[in-house]
Parts: sequence; C-alpha cells; structure tokens
Amino acid sequence: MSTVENVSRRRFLAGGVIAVGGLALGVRYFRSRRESNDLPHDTHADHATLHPSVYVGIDPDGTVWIVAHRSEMGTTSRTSLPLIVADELDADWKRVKIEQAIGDKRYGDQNTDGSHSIRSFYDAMRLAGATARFMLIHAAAQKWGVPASECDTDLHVVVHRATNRSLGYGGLSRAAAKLSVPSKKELEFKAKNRWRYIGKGQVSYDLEALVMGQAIYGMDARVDGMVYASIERPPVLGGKIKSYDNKEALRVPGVLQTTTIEPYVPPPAFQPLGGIAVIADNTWAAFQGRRKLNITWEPGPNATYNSDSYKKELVETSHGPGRVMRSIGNVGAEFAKGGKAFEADYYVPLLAHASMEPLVALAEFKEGKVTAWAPTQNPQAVQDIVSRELGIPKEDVICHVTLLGGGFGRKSKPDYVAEAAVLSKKVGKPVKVVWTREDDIKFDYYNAVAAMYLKAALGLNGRPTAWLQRSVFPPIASIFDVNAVHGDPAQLQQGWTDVPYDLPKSSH
Amino acid sequence: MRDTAAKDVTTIEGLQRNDLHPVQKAWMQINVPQCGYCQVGQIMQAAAFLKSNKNPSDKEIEEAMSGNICRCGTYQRIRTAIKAAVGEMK
Repeated sequence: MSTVENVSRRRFLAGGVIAVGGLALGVRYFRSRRESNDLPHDTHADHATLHPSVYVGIDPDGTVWIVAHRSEMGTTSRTSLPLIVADELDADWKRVKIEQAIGDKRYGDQNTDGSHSIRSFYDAMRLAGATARFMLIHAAAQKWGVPASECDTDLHVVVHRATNRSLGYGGLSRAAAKLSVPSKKELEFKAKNRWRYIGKGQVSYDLEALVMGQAIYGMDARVDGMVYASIERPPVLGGKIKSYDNKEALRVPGVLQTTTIEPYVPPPAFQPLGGIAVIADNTWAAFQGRRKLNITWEPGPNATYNSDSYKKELVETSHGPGRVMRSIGNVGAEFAKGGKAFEADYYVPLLAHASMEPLVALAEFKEGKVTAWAPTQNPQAVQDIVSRELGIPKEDVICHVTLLGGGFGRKSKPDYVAEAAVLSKKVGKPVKVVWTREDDIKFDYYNAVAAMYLKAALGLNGRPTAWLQRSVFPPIASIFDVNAVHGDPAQLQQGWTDVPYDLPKSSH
Repeated sequence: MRDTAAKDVTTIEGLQRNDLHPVQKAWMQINVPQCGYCQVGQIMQAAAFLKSNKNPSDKEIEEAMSGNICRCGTYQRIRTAIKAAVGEMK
C-alpha cells in the first residue's frame, strides 16, 4: 500500500486568490477584504484602529501591523525594516505581524535592487515608529491628565513613572487615533542606548515557515481555474516566427492550446520577447508540448551576432581613446617619458543571474484588470509593463509579491510577469508562466560582457605614476534606448571611476 | 515520479511529528536559510541521510549533501546544523 505523507502546501492555497496573498509571506492571517479586488490597496495596517503611517497600524488587542514594502530574497530586509519601526515604537516584536505590500507608489521606491533597502528606508521606518509612539504617549498623558513630557514608553506600554502607572498600546490605540498626526519636528527619536533590536541580531520573521516548508514562493502561487504556460522564445533576440506547426504539440495529453506572443518592439525594455506559448493543465505537459512544436524562425536584425567577433570588436575598441569619465593630470605625457610601463587586457563573459527559483509568474486578466502574483523585486515595474502591454491604467494592475527564491537583480525586470498577463488576456483564464532552468539561463538580462584595457607607468619606488583604464561594454541604458552607447556615470561610480587608490595621474 | 510508485514518500510536511524534527530544530538554531528556496530539499536530504547514518564523519556529510545546491551559499551553516542535529539525535 502506498501512503504519501504529503499535506501539500499547495492545498492550503485552495481558497484561491486571497490565500496566496495572505500566505505568501508566511503571514498566516487572511484578509477577507482581499477576497474581492474592491479594495486592492488596503492592508491590515490601513484598517487598524491607529494608523499614523502607510507602514504601521495598531489594533486594540495590541497587535502591531507593519508593512514590508520591499521584496524578500534572502537578505532579510522583510524583517529588518519592520524591526526598525518596532524599535522606534518600543513595540514587543512578538506582537508584531508583518504583511507584504502590493506594488503601490504610496510606499515610495519598491525596486529591491542595489542593496539599499536599509540605507534608503532607515529614516522612513524610524519616522513611522516614532510617529505612532508620539501619539500613544500623548493619548496616555491625556488620560492621566499629566504633561506628555512626564510620560515615556517601555515594552509595548506607555508609563508615567512618577505615579507608577502604565497603559498598554492596544488599549491606547482608540484614543491615540483621535489625535492629529504630528509633524516630524515634534518627534523625539529614541536614543541609541535605548535600542532594543537594531544591531542586536534577530532571526528572520519567516524562519519557521522556511524550515517547515510553509514559505510561499512565486513557484507555489496558485489560483482556481489556472492553466500553465511554457514559452518557446525566439532563439535570437529580436527574432520572429516565420511559420509553425503545433499539431504534435496539441496531441500531448494535458496540452490545451498554443498561442503566439507578439515580438517586442525595440528597444527590449522588459517587454515579452515573443514566441509561442503552450498552454496546459500542468507544467510537465506544457514542457513536453513545447518540445513538439515545429517552428521556423526569422532570426531578425541580430542574426549575424557572433560572440567571438563581438569580443574582438570590444577589445579593439578598448585600445583606442574613449569618453573620459574621470581624469587627474596628464596621463599621456607621463607615458611619453618612456619609463617602465605595463599593459593588460581583461575580458569578462556574459553572466547569468541564475536565481535558484527560475522565473515564474501567475496573472489573471479579468474585467479589464490584472491581478498578478510574482517573485518580483519591483512590483511597481510590473504595474508599468503590464499596463503598457495591455493598454490598461497602472492602478488596474495589482501585483502581489511572494517570497523570492533568489533575485540578484534579474527579478527587477518584469518581462516574465508581462508574459503571464498577456497570455491570461488571450486565453481567458489565469495563467502561470513557468520558465525552465534552461529558459532562465538563455533569456536572461545578462550582466554584460566587457573588454578592459589597463596601462600603468611605474616610478622608481615601484608605485604607479600614471594609470589608464578603459572599459568597453553594452551599457544598461541600451535596454531602453537602442542608440545608448555610453555607461551611466552613476553606475560607473560603483567601482570604475571611484578607484580608491592614490594615483597621481589617472584616466578612467 | 515513476520511482515513487507504490512507495512511501515523506515530504517536509510529514517530517515533523508532534515537535519539529531534530534537523529542523538545528536549522532554526543555526539560522541556516537565506532565501530558503533550496532549504526544504537540504533538510529532507539531511534527515534521510541521518536516518541511515547516526554518526557521520565530516566527509560523509559532505558527500551526502553534495547534490544539493544553494545559490545563497549557506553551506557552512548547513554543515554546522547537521552536526548539531547529530548531537540532538544521540
């Protein structure tokens, strides 16, 4: 007899849409409001009794809701940003519930890319916590009829030490909600020596869910009535379908239909790359059906692209002068003195991001609106591209953010979510687009190739007297502008023009 | 999937009984996961391995776990957690 001890985590999602939204984040609290999309933007924090900031809400039972608006892919910013709020609020971490934000510009920048979640939102999180704390202190002071300056907070309570009285945050939430939200200059932030959590080390809010197999990634997203898609994309970027035969593919059990996706209009700018999607009632069937497609491609403008000749072109270009981004002294004159000099060529190949979780997205187009669930680093970019692709307002694109099985910047690019949305509109059902590992490597927005030429002149003491470095590469800007040829100064500052060595003469 | 026909299969959901499995406990104690995507596989591999080898050497741990890739690079903590679980299970 066979017993499968598997209460599939997917079974917990059988309720559909809402379950994914709620469970996705290891927050095991469902919201009935989210069952319909009438109030797509609201969070528990929004509806909490005291709600002084988009990031925080406090209910009469003392629950503190904190909104994580950045994406979680293993750096634990989903824990550390709320932890800053909790610290400034003097809240008990055990009474904090974190909920993941959908894509919404009211939260500010949600593009979780470039390692700056704490740097960019440390102040905003402290502000949210301090604002709530201020209001709770003033509510308690009013109740006690004492000056607010005599009151302080301790763990989840306001205290009046002179009379040894204290009131819990939950009990104060209603009275605090009646007060006006203070301006930043009225606030007093906690002194560093009173920090409870910051810098003390704290495990991930999601640790238990991760260890118990309950964490929900994009690959786990599921809604009722959904179908699966696997897409055969043009083997050359910019290619188009010349002709195809899908008869064999349609014979694969489980395959429901095939449908084409239009090629992108240059520049790529995160549009779907085009191709043919095999729609099936499970991923395996979609993968098998895709292998049975018979497609003749029109390779398009990049047909003659050749890695070796492109490399040669980059290396040769690096041997001639380029645009100087940083210059100290006259490097050419120093080299002309004819002392000891070294030259070197370097080349880095294309590098795929290769997240552990391949790209995947679930989207439902219904009554002119799209609801998507995706492991995305940038849910607002999802709103942008889906809105452009389907010609609907950005506000009508709701993007739920699941946990990410790695991101590395690849999941800031929302092309895979656009594919799911485009297909859902075509098929009339929720569609989950699943990339294979091979797709993930083959259709990446790669870290670009670069050819570098370096030359240094050495003085008698063995230290460089002049330093020249050139780099030739397709810039990130070329994703959005076919004519872009130069690197963005802000990106070049991340290691190219900000060389930390004391070089008397240099050119970058 | 063919190999699992007519076989008992334990998944992460069935790993714990009343309490977390010692491997899961060790994983929490050592704070192993980062993104977590591979960790269910790592935990199941470790649990299955420790079922057949109650006192593994470092080399045996290394070999047993070598097929499970972690893109975040949590290997050192995985190793530490497995050793902690061995201690717990003794």
